[in-house]
Amino acid sequence: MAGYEELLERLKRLKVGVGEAGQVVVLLEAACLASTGDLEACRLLADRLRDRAPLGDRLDAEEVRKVLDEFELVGSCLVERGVEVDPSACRGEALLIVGRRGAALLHQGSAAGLALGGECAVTIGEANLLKVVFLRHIAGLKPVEEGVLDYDWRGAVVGIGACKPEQLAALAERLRRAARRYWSLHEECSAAAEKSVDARRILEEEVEECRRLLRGGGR
Amino acid sequence: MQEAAEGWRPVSWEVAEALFEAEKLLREAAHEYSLGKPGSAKAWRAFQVLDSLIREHCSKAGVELLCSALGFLHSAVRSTLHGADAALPEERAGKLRVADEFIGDAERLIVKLTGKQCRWGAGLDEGLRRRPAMLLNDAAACVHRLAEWAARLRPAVEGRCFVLEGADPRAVDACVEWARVARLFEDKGMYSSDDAAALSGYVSGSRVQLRVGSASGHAAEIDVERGVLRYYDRDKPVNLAVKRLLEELAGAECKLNEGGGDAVPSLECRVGDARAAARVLAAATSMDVRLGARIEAARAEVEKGCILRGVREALGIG
Repeated sequence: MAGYEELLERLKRLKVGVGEAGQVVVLLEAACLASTGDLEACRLLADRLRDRAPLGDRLDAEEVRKVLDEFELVGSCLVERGVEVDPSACRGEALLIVGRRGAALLHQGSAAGLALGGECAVTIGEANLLKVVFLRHIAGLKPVEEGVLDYDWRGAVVGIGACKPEQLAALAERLRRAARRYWSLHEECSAAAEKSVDARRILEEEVEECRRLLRGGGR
Repeated sequence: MQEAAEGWRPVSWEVAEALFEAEKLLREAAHEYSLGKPGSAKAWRAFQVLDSLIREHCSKAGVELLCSALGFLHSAVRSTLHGADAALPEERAGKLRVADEFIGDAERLIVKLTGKQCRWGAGLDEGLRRRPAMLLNDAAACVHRLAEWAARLRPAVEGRCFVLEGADPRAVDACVEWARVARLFEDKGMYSSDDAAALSGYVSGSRVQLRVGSASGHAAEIDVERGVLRYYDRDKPVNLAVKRLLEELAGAECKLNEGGGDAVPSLECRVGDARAAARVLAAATSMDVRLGARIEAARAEVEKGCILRGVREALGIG
């Protein structure tokens, strides 16, 4: 694929994945998702590639070509052949992969944004968006939906509702800034949540449930 | 373990009975010591019960572990009482240290015999563990393990209840009712697997002793003759909930002892309807786990909403 070395350089700058093989696996999984929207097939592809290059060796060129030959580099976008993209979306540092079924934005971290079926999810801080979306998918949930899909003190995966691939690219810088603020946001939210817990109400709920069971099961 | 059990079969009923009696006396003595009262009379009676057991039963074959453990507990009680009465601080400290070591020796044998530990105070530092009240409480807990072991030589009624000969039918009924409701709670997924596995009831005379959770010392007893219920748990919210349920559903009158739960019961109740009270005790199992899960769910809901708002604000959307 033309521009492959340039693409690798970009991935390295973006610190996407660990080592060259890790970076390319993330890229291929994201490209597969954007092209097919098939979460399970793309996860299997990524797992297969990881298994073949466990020591961080270069990946099989043929495997890489199979996916990436369908794409071309346009500015900062990797676009599937035959798909139209607003050129303004392809001018940033981040890599926007646009396919027939959706788009993936690779930025700082393993994945920063994903648009599937017109709904978007983003990653703030250190969190693996593809993994979370995949797990929700196999659990029979909607692939992307509005709300916090997963979070801990390191990062969060958040469904932000309807959006177009171009809008993902526009979010790239804000995502990076939000990531820097995430730790303090998480701290503030934890403190607020701690304060909000009404122990008396919770005890009341527990007593009520036991009362119901004891009366129901009592003779 | 089974071989030793076979060796005990001819005498097990009365042995279990006597052990439960010794346990009761030791617990009451520990309670009195913890309140600053002289509890030695009851503890000496417990010592005599253990002494008689050893003299009458420990010449039989196949009971070495049980008899050795009893021997250590017997010595531990004597040393504790001598330590508690000692005039010189060095003598007191020395006797209580020896008692502590005897209980440790007994526990090692009890683990071999029953597969279960028995000391509540094992994790405490020496200063707390070597108080007379705590040593007697630990001795009581270890005697209880031996009593359980002996009682289990008899087939259970209603799965989790073990009944000694001559037990008061009202006490048997209360235990059976508790086991029935515990099964209902278990079937509803209200118990952790560890707690469910630990549940057992022992009926001896007019007393029902219930192990209501896997945490050391999480227990309750009802004396149907005296109409008294004692509940042992250090978790305050659980005590508050159990107290309310006992008062509402069993017509009990309960007193909450702040700081109780080991040597001192955390709840002491007067109960008219032992069966209804036993039923409520089924709700105490894993209640701390359920409350923890409810708190965590409530906390996570608020935290998630806050993070979502923060992220949306940072991204300038919605």
